[in-house]
This record gives sequence, structure tokens and C-alpha cells, in this order.
Amino acid sequence: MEDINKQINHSKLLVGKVFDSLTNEQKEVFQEWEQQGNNKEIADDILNAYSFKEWQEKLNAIDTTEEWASFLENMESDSEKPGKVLRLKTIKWMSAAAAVLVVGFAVFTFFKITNSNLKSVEDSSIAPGTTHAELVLSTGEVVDLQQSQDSKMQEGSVALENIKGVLQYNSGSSKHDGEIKTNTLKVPRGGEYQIVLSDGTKVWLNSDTELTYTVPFIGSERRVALEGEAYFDVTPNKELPFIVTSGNQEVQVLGTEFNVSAYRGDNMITTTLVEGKVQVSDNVSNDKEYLLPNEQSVLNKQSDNINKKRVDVYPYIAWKEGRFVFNNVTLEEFLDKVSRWYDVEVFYDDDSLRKLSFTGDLPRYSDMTSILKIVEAEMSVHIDIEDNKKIYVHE
Amino acid sequence: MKVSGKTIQYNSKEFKAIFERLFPSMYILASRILKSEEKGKDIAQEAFVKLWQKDTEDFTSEKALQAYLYVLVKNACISQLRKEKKISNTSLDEGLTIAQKSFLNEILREETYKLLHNAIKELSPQAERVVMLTLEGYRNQDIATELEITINSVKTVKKRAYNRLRELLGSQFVAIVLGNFIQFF
Repeated sequence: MEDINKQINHSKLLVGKVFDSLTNEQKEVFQEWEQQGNNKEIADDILNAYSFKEWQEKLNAIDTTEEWASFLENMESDSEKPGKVLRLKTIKWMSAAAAVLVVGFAVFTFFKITNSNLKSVEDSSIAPGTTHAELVLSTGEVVDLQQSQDSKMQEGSVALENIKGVLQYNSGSSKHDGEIKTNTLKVPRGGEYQIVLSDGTKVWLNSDTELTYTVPFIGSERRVALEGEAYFDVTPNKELPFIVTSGNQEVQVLGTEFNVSAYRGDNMITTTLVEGKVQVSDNVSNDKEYLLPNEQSVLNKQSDNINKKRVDVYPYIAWKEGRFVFNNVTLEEFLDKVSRWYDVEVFYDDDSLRKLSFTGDLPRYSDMTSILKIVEAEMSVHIDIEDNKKIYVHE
Repeated sequence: MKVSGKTIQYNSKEFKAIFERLFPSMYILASRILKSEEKGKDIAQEAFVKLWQKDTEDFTSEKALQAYLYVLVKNACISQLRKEKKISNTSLDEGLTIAQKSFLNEILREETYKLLHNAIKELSPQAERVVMLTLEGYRNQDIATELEITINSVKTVKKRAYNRLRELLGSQFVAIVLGNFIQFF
């Protein structure tokens, strides 16, 4: 009770800080509080525009009149048979949760291996990914691309240059010799790369991603194939639609900015629109949705259905700005994304750990241990690391 | 039940006002802890019912009642987490400490957001932008540049918002007393 009242008072200090209105005495109290434990990180996490906006949306979605009516109803049935109504409601989701956990327990038992090679987070070091990729030319030749090594190549009539981590196709010659030349840019786990296609379209490729395209674009469209995650900034051209295919999904645009996440292991494809307008379609079900800015489509690979919702786009594109931003995702979703960048594997002692909720805005270009320290502190879990490659999460 | 010395009934206008002020944060908090809106809603509703199971409860203020509700929600969430953990057969005590710690942090979040929300809701759209940009990490000078206003206007907006909040919550910025009938939500 006393702790709770303290927190209620701390909230006033946090708000006073936002409004630059703390008295000198309050500032001292606040600084003292910030220095305890991980309070500073918690305060930063709370005073965050994105998570506040999300809270406001939740608040606006609550129908207090309806909730008041169900409260009265619960009170009346409670006086007859205590607790009955409430329990009935909860059984549905409890049995669903039970099913998930039983499966989880089997998997957990299977993976539990004893290991003597483990180190704590403090004693480990996991470097972030770097700017590197492989380019597969139409001849089948594979070129290693690094940020530090500039190079020039020729693909048919199109000249290409690799300068400071950006692969650039020159638009100079629009003629092609009739032969279709296909190139693939492959970014491994622990890598990222940027490419400028022959029409000027910029694409940022995240770790574990492949982009395939023709050089130059041919016919009445600009078509590329994506597996993994990429952010597209498409040069407008009304005559030539730009099409991104990923599995059964096609995203068709005229000129706009959007992010597509289509990893082979994921059971959905997520398309998030930042600017302009795109059409997302599934070529098996012919399901189709138009996205406007701040809308996101999620294509379910099993059912080939597409669902659309409004989102704050920032967490979905933050990777391109050098941040990991997650708002109320499961620890598993968070570590899945992060592990592609640090090229590590994650194991959980107990399946309930996967479901812990994680919120954070963290740097992408620092050692992974700085992220893991925050996870340990915020979520009260312990993490051991084997050979700087395998991450074990336990209670 | 007595709140601030006044006896109220569960189906009274007074309690309806308290419910409307306090239900949303209980619901949002429980949903976030349990990662399910449905579970969160059930637990918040259940807490308000449990509040009435002790007939003789005497709360010195709405703040005291709110703290008691937080405790009810916390206990219900812990017992829910315990039920889920029992199925996967792991130690309970660890789970309790996780919940305890993150709970207090989530209460801080709820209370902070409620204050911010109340500060903002009566302000002009521009003043709201000032607050949002502050939360996005902008300094006063950068906010002034972004909104094409002077840095002094930025400072004034902030001061005014804070003062309004103090008015709303009483001059001492202290307990929210039911008798005052402050629209705190």
C-alpha cells in the first residue's frame, strides 16, 4: 500500500519534469529517486510519446458506460452466487492458455540441456551486425560487398557502383539488349545493406533478407521479389507500377514509402505504410486491401487472408533509423528480431518467459549485452551466454 | 462503504463517478501485465466487485480507495500468473517478485499518463503538440523551431499546463477528495 502511494507521488514528479516545473527541492528528490535501481530507464520508458499515445488510444477505446452496466450486473449476480459469473467468463481463455502452455512445456523439456560453458551477461560481448552483403550477378558470380571496399561493376548495359555501403545501379542507359538479367542482393544474419535501383528507388535491407530484381526493369512494371525485411522508398512513376512480391503477397505502388517484413519462418507478412498509398493483394485468395499512411496489413500465410489495422509506424521502421523500438510485444518477438541482427540463437528455460511483455527503445549499433542487461533488470530474468553465440533465458 | 467520511452505495451516482475515474487505469494496467485485454477487463471488473465484499470498509479518501483497488488488481494478476505457471510446473516465488516489481512500475505509468492526459485535454492543439514533442525528446529550443514559435511561448505553455493540473488536483497537488468533485478522468 505504501509503495503504491509512493508511486502515485512519483508520477507527479515525472509530470513536473515534462513541464519543466519542478522546484529545486523536487528536483533533488527526483534525482535521488532516478539513481535508485533502474528507475532512470523506467522513467525514460514511461516518458515516451509513442507509449503515451498508445495509452491514450486504449483509454479512448474504453466504453465506461458499458463497463458500469456490467459492473452493476456483476454486483447483482454476485449477491446471489458469489463469484460465479466472473469465473464463467474466465474459463474460456484459461483453457486456451493451458493448451499453449502444455505444448510449450514439451518443447521446453526437449531443449533443456545442461551446459558448463555459460557466462553471465557482464562477462560476455556480442558485437552488433555490420554493413555487408553478397551480390549474385546474372552470370552466377558472387561479389562480396563491404562498407569499407568501394567497387565498380557492369551488368549488361547498366553500370553499378558500391560506395560506402550503398549499392547503386545507374540509370544512364535505359536501353537493354533484350536479355533479362536478374540480380540478387543477399544480406546474411548480422548484416544490413542499402541499394539504389536503376529507377532511383531506395531499399534498405535488414538482416537475413534477399531482394531479387531485373537489371534494368523491363516491360510495363518495376517488379522485385523480397524475402525477409526491407524498407522501400519508391521513386514515383505513374506509368510503371512498382511491385514487391513475397510468397503469395504482392504490394503494388506508384511512388511511396513502406516497410515489408516477410521472413520465411514467420507465419505472416506485415506491410506498413509510411507515405502514399499501396495495394496489398494475395494471389491465391485474391484478397485485397488498400493501405493509407499509418495503416498496416497482416497477411496470414496459412489462410491467405489479409487484415488491415491502424498503427504507429515508428516501431516498424525504427530499425532503419538505428533503433530497436518495441511496444508491448512478447519477449520472444523482441529477441527474435534482435537475434537476426546480432546473429545469435535464443533458448528459453520456461515457455512462460517467451510470453513476458516487453517495451523498449534501444540502440541498434551497440553491444548486445547492453540490451540484455536492460532485459535482465526490467523483466527480472537471468540470462547466460555461451560462446557469445547462444543466449539462455531463465527465471 | 465510506469514502471521505461519506457513506455511499454501490449503485449510487457518487460511486459511478469513482468507477468512471478509476476503472480505465485498472483495466489498462491488468491488460498490460497479463498481455490480454479480455483478462484485464475481467480482473478490473472483479476488483470493483471485491471492493464491496467488505461492507465496513472506510476509506479516508478516493486516493486510499484507489490504492486499495490497485492492491486487489495486483493480487488478482499474481494469482492469474500463478495459475498459468502451475500448468507449466515451475517455481512460484520467482514469478511473484517479477509481478511485484513490474506492478509498481506499471502503476507509475498509469498515474503519470492520467496526469498528462488531464493536463493536455483542456489545452489547445498547439499546447498538446508541445507536450508530445517534449515526450519525443525535443528540447525547448527544438520545439520552438519545429512549431515556429518563440522559446518563451514554449515555456509559457508548459507552465500553464502544469498550473492547470495543480488547479484540477487542488492547490497542494495532493489527495483527490471526493467531496471536491474534481473531474479526475
